[in-house]
Amino acid sequence: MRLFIFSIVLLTAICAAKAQPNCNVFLWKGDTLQYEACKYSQIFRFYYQFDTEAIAVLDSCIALCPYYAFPYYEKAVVYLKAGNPIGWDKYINLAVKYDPISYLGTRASCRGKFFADYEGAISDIDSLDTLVDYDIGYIHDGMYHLNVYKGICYKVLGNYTKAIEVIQSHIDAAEVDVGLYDYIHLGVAYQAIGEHKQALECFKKQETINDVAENHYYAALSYQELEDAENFSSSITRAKEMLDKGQQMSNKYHILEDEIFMTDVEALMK
Amino acid sequence: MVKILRNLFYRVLNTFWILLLMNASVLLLGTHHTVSSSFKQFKNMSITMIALILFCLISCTTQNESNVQDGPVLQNGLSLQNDTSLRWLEDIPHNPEIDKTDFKLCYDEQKAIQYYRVNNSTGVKNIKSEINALFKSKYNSAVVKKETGLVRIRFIVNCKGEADRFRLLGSSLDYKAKTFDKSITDQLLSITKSVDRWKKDTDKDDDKDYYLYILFKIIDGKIVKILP
Repeated sequence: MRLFIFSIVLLTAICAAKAQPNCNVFLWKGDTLQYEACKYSQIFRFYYQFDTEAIAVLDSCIALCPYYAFPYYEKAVVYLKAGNPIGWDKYINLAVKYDPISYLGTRASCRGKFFADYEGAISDIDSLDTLVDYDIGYIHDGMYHLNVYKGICYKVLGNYTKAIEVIQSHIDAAEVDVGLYDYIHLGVAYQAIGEHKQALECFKKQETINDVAENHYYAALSYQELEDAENFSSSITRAKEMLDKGQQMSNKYHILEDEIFMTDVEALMK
Repeated sequence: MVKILRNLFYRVLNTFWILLLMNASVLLLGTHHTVSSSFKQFKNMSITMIALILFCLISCTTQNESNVQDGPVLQNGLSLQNDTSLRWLEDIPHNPEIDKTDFKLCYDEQKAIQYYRVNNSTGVKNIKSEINALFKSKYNSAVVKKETGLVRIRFIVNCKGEADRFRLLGSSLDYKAKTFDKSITDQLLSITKSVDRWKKDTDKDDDKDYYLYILFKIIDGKIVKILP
């Protein structure tokens, strides 16, 4: 019992603690300049990122060590969140220049999600893939694996066959590591080329992972194409119920690909 | 400096509570059964805590103001940073020459937040389909110059859903500053300004003033995508 309580308390303590970034990695490499800039950059954590004083801290880090990627990245993020493509691009390019492995994936997904630059996103993901011989990892907010996001980009560009190939390959390899919405996007891609039975299989699998309104909405579209009135009716009704409850795809920064609105459901119900 | 000291204080307080919890847990696990031995153990632990707090204070970096440099004044779409009257990067102060005189924020300027910190996620989410429909019906691509790139309109929305302080920024598709023809920007701006309410009545929890933007991807004068 005491061991149990101790474990809970220790876990609380760990979660409450704020770990210092490991600047020592630069020291181990013999790079004292980057080490000093990294240590100084820790002050940034005390500010809200948009704060002009925070930006001044980042500028000081850059003055200390012009090839330390972190401050460029953080400046880019501020412009990104303000929807400023010029400021974002200037600083994220510098972050990628000085640390491509850490920031190429982020640049890829942000290009696609914030500026609809899907070709740029695909190019960055492919570039990252040539640089590493291990898993390239996830997009900036962890919602999708970079391979899945590449597939989504192909889908938006209208290359559905390639999208299916990329996303399906990842899911087949990932097995348990399937994302929250991967099957929705795959299903929509199948739908786009008229493969409604395949699409419905995807939406069925999505139900077991993360059941949302979009799942039933797109299933309704396929049932409609297959002239299955009964399942169409139940699916679209279910989609509306879930939307009313807010059980849908969601991201606080932007509208996701294949995300739906009540107007979409109501239009389909007519 | 005040901000740093305040945050340092909270950091020390946080460390104190963590150490207190850890000490309490050690006591719980202790095999000593007498009150006096527990007290002695607690006393020893308190000394350890004080030493660790002092270590934390010494090891925490403090900012030497002489090392802090003002950011450079940037041009072509990069925000002014030497303007110390600006609270945050990309803040939009009132300009009496172009902004409404009767537009009022519900709260102090210092309390305006970014759109994604509004309770109902994006801040534009609930009316995105209406925005899409509005531009589809109102924007006339037939009368514009066939230009390509990104146009961002950023503005501030008060807690009642009214908007003002519209600022426009143009970029090419390779993210370089670009001035679009007025046939495009005048339309985009006037349609954006025509939205009389940026939140629905159901957004009761969104009692905030916030910054919002709309970004248009334009190909040959046509809107192909509206973000976010």
